[in-house]
Amino acid sequence: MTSSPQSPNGRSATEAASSRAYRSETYRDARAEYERIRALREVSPIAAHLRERRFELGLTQAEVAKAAGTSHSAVSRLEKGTHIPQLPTLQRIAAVLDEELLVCFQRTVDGEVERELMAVA
Amino acid sequence: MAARRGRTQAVFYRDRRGQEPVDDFLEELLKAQPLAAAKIDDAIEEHLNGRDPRDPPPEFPATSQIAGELRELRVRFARTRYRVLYQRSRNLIVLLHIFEKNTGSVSASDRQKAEKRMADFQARMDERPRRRPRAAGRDAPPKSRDYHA
Repeated sequence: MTSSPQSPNGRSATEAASSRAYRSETYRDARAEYERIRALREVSPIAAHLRERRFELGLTQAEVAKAAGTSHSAVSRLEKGTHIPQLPTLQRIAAVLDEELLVCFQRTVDGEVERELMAVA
Repeated sequence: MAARRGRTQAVFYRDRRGQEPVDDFLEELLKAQPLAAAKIDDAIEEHLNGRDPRDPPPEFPATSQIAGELRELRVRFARTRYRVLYQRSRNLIVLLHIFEKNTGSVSASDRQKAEKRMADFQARMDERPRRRPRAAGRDAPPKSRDYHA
């Protein structure tokens, strides 16, 4: 969108983002990664969350795997959304990412949804 | 991406001096934390752009209401939380204010800053459009009273 200098609506967010992408390779790569994460969210919200978190903390899959005591391939498959590991492994991965894994139980009673959220261990 | 007609389009509020505070913040963030700037731009694109203006606003936790029509876009990057205060004006989503949020709720001063900018935005949008300067000299049209002289 173009607007006169006196106009109170400035440049569009899309235009500004394109300009930033043109000037910064790191920014451009990050936008591409967030696009992949968004697509992954449709397949596996857990995989998307863990991949996003790892990316933002600046960790590699190998680093997460080593710290969580699991294999690189397990983390890789987890982030592809093709395999969800067992709860203890997931719990350790969450801890490496500075998070805590909780489990939610849900039931419907008389048409009302009830949820209980609890720690795994 | 080109804006789709009739869909929402996020734009930066511009003050009377030509400054765009939210864009300025993102430009500074680009230098220090390009990944965070990318995440915020991504969230604006995902949640605020290209929507039907008649649709309800994006649900919590992506956005939440602050007061009246003023809302916040909530973005978390690693261990930092950012808030973008915005308000819709027809199909424009006006990005008014952005800050790192370290407390439980948006402070009154941040809310007032956004409200003040929105009031300025609306007042200036409502101002009558500037007329083109009248032609002068030989190009000037004859004054109407000359016809009846």
